[in-house]
Amino acid sequence: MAMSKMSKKMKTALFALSAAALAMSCVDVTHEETTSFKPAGHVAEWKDEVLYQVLVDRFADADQSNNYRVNKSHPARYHGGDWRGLEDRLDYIAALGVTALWISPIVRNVETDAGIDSYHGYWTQDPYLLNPHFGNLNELRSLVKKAHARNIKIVLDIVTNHMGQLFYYDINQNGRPDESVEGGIKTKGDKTVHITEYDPDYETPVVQSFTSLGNAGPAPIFFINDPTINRMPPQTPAAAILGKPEGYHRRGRIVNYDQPPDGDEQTMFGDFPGGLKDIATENPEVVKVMIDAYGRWIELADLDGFRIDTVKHVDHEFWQKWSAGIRAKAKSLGKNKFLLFGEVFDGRDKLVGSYTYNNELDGLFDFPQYFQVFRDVFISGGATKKIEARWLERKTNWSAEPPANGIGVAPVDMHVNFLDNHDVGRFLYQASVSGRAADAKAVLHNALAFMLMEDGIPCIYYGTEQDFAGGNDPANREDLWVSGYKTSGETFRRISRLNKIRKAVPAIRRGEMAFTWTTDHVGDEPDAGIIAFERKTADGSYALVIINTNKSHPSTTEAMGAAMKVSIPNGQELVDVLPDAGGQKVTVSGGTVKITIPPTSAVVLLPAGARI
Amino acid sequence: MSAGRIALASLAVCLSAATARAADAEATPPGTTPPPSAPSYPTKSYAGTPTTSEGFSFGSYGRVTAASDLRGGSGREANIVAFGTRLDLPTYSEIQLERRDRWPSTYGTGAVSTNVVFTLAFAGPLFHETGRFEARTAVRNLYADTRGIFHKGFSAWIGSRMYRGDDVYLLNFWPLDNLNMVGGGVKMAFDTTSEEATSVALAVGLGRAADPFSFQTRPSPSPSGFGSTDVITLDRPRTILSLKGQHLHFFKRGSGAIPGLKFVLYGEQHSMGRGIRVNESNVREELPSETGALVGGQLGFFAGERDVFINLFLRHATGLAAYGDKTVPSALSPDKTTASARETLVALSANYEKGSFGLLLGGYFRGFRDASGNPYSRNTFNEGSLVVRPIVWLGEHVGLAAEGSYQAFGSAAVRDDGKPERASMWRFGVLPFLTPAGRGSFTRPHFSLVYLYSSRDAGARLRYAPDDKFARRSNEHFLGLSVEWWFNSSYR
Repeated sequence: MAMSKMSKKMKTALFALSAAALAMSCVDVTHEETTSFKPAGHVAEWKDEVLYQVLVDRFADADQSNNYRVNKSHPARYHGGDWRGLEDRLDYIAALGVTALWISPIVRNVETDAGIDSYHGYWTQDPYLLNPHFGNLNELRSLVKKAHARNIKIVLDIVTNHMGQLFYYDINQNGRPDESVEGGIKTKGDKTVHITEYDPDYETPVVQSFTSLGNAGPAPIFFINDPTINRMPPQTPAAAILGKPEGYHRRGRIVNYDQPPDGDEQTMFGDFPGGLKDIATENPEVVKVMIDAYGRWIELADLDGFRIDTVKHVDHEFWQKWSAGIRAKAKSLGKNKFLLFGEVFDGRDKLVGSYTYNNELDGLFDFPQYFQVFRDVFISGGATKKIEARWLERKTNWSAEPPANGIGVAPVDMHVNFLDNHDVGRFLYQASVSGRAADAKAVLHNALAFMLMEDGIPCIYYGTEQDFAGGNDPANREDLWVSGYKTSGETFRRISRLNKIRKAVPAIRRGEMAFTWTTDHVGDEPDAGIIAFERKTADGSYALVIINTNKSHPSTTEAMGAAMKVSIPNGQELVDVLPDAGGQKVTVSGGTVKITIPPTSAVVLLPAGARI
Repeated sequence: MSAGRIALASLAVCLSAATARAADAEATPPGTTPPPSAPSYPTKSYAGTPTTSEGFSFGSYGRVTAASDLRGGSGREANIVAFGTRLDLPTYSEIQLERRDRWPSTYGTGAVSTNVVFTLAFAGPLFHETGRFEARTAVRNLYADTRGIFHKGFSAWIGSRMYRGDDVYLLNFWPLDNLNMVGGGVKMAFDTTSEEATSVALAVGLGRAADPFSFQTRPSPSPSGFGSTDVITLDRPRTILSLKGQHLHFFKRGSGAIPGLKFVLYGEQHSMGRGIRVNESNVREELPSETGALVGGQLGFFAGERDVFINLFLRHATGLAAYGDKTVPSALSPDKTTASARETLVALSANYEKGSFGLLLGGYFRGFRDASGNPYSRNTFNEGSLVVRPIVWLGEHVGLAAEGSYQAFGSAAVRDDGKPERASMWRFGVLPFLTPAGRGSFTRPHFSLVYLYSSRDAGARLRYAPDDKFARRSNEHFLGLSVEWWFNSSYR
């Protein structure tokens, strides 16, 4: 009897074990992001998009478990933001009306160097591995997936020009890195320079070594092996070339950016300031790694485009080969409109435009516009003729042929417009120090109106919507969370409204742009500061944008008795849709529009009846 | 569900070995492992009967292993989950000193006894390995208990101690209750009938990890005006209250082998107060109060002879309790609490012996969800292992055992190459042994020659740092000499 009871209980116990095991088997930790993640094309037309630049570390911190070496009090340390935080704030991003996120680099970085940390992501240590400060691949995928579900695209920031500070030049051949080489003050021309083995000045053909007995030939380089700060050669075997001397130019730091021919050579072959080692991008093995490593992230994270750093520091041949390889990879994944655009931080338009030929890049940041239009006209009150001139200049220097296998748009129409970014002081800062602080916000709103209504792809730097006003790096990389993610501020609403208009009016996104008024007047003249342009499509979508950049007085679209000519029929009533409740109305008369715009303000005129 | 996932789940895999190891490391000093329990079957004399004589007593648990990887290196533990085979565990030992006294009772309960227990644990390195006078030590027990006041089944203890129940010997794992705390407790054992024995134990204790989650000191200007002095700025120990009820049911009366069942219900309540710390950004931040709870149970059968038993354990913990008693919680929720952390665990332990044949079995499955609420957290994982060890005794003092095991781990994260973060490992061992104390899975000392072969998959290799040889090798050998003993050991 007892044994039969026992047997029963034993059965019960075994049943319980089986049930428990079965129950546990249901506690599955895998997710769709793990098991069935499949990249696909998500972009219909890049000209419809509005970019929003996010420095992930500063946007939102949702996961404390990745807060390694975080110090939120120090502007140049990690602050804890992560991909999950970004995902949690997609509502905020959507409310702003932007449609594509440009996220800061995702790859493994050297942790720290000279008291500054790699929170920005531009100090690549291994292009095949993720930076764990921002999360794991599932978290990145989840962000991308949730963004795509809202029709928000993801553009990844990448660097092919340089790596982090992975090695030092043993200039004095003592086998150790020296901050200051023994006897390391030497004269170059009329300058006395300090020599550090981490970041020596530019030399050709490579940095030279010297001892107390004199010159000693090429300085050997030694890769640092300090896993505590991840300062070591890439650990992924596929990236082995980036752990070898032949993977780098080894010429030291660029000291002359500007004066060709030496400046151009230094720009191309020199280390980026901060000891960021310049990669030998002409090396076929390097090209292969860069295609493989970054092509792989397209597939692994379902990306929609790359924002490419330091384009002008890399040779054209590289861009031709690399872009072809990346486009082929993207196409193989069903991504026929994978965007490649880059940063040529330079006001010389011919140089900037040169990267749009020979199937190199689809588009570029419009740095010349940043200098000539936003700085010189909107902030400094220059003549609006400069804006028109900038337009003509671009048409001269940028390719009008869509790159083969590219996004199907000519680069000259794929200029990425921006007011500021992480490398320059914020617009409000510049407007305050270069203009009148009291006007700064109105100037910002005006510039936003121009940027979001003009041709090209607008790009908004995170925090602009919260009136962040930091100066140059790192002051311009504020924590967004201090804003409380408010959506009620004037600037937030301004951007949101402009994006709403942009979304609703095809002409503003895809239409032709024709200037109807620019002027050399910057003083008391009635039209001083006026810039006006039409946007229109063949199927009848139309907008007329008029901005008064003059900060002192109202200006009118009329000079010497001649009003502004427009291309729409007489009698057409136009209504300013920029205010939520609607603004000024004007009727086309005699083929012209005459309207007075208050100082530092704008109107976006649509045919009456248009609903936004 | 893919075959791989079925295998993963059905074998009850899981936990980041790293995390679980961290948890274990908190429960026991780094590199050490608590001694195994006595055989988990009770006898009829279990309740209330003194088992040792008065006076001074010396006890010990120990294991010493000398092993090679057959590639010119040392043999080294290679489990990828928190609790895998114990065959390659590193050297660890304890010495236990006890003073036992018996006092006359004024309560009519017979003798009142007291024990003072001091257990000192040593982990490697051994002097004879390194030639250096160094070892890691820890006080694992330092407490006194008394029995027989009020009632012959009453006992009470105060001090610092390991406080735990039955283990899974093959995994070196106490799956239900395993507390290390400074505190005290009482226990009441009721020997109600000759067929039943019931006890209830209550304990409360404190623990405070030296981590800014619970403890922080900061330099402050010295009152003398010269220099600084460290002051405690955060001090919020974890208070753990545990309650355990146990009932033994014997299937027959009389002497000889008496089989029976063991039922255990167990619970813990964890709490920590609020606190303020200075974080890594040098900003004062408030840490909210924490709570957690654990409930579990054990169902066991014992044959009453030759250590034959089977125990099934189930446990579920929430909040602070999900992290174990000594682990510093990580991956907190955005409001910096552990509230949504969860742990579910099922474990099995069994021993069967008949004639010259024996079979030991151990396994567990653990699912852990961290408090972050992040469905893709690397700290959200399943893990488990299953170990089977058949034994053949060739006479009374010699035997041969084989051991096969499988262990696996899977987290909610994916690796940087897009593959799921999963890892698994098969292990096979052979151990001819000597048992001077005779047959029995738990007779000690146990002298053995151990050969263990391990096969780790790509995921298992990736659980090691790139420069670790385990990250590069799919196959592992472990050949060594091992001895294990225990007597008068701290398990009670």
